[in-house]
Amino acid sequence: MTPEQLALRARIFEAFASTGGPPDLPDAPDLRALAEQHVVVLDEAARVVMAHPFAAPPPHRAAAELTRVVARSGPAPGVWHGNCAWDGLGIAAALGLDGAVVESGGITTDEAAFFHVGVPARQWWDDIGHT
Amino acid sequence: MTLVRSGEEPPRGGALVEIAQLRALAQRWYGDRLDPDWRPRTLEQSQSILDAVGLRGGFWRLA
Repeated sequence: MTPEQLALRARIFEAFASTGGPPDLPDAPDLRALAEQHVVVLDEAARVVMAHPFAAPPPHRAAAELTRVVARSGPAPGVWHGNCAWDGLGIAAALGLDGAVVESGGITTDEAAFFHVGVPARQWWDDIGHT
Repeated sequence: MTLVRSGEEPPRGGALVEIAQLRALAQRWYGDRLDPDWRPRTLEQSQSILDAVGLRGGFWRLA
């Protein structure tokens, strides 16, 4: 990964962390390179829709399909979205959010006993939206 | 990937991860994503994280 790609990646992650969503970026070779390296996922218009553990908020996907991370207090109250509970807990870990509520499919991680993974690890990137 | 309550029937197939295990995995997998000196992991490093939290076996092999 080149220094320019690392800088672009940092800009994308800082935007997700501070605003809950991706920055507006022009389509560019470095952005495509980050997608090829699975650092981001782009939609058909080259907009960033995922930068794991973050996912773009609705309406790019229906709210019910996304995991919500809600921090009501602490140093950085806010709402973030991920693709699944793993990502939701990852957002809380990356942001240092103690006590954030992570809700996925109508269940919070505090209410759940297990996390079901349906796709074997080597196939996760075959269809990352589904995984 | 879905959450399952205790006593609830999980979807068929796949694998179940305990929530404590998932928290440990999320911390190790994503905890450094906002670090200024972040660099991409190798496949072997990612596999080591899965191993370290007890996710071993063919289902959890990344390649």
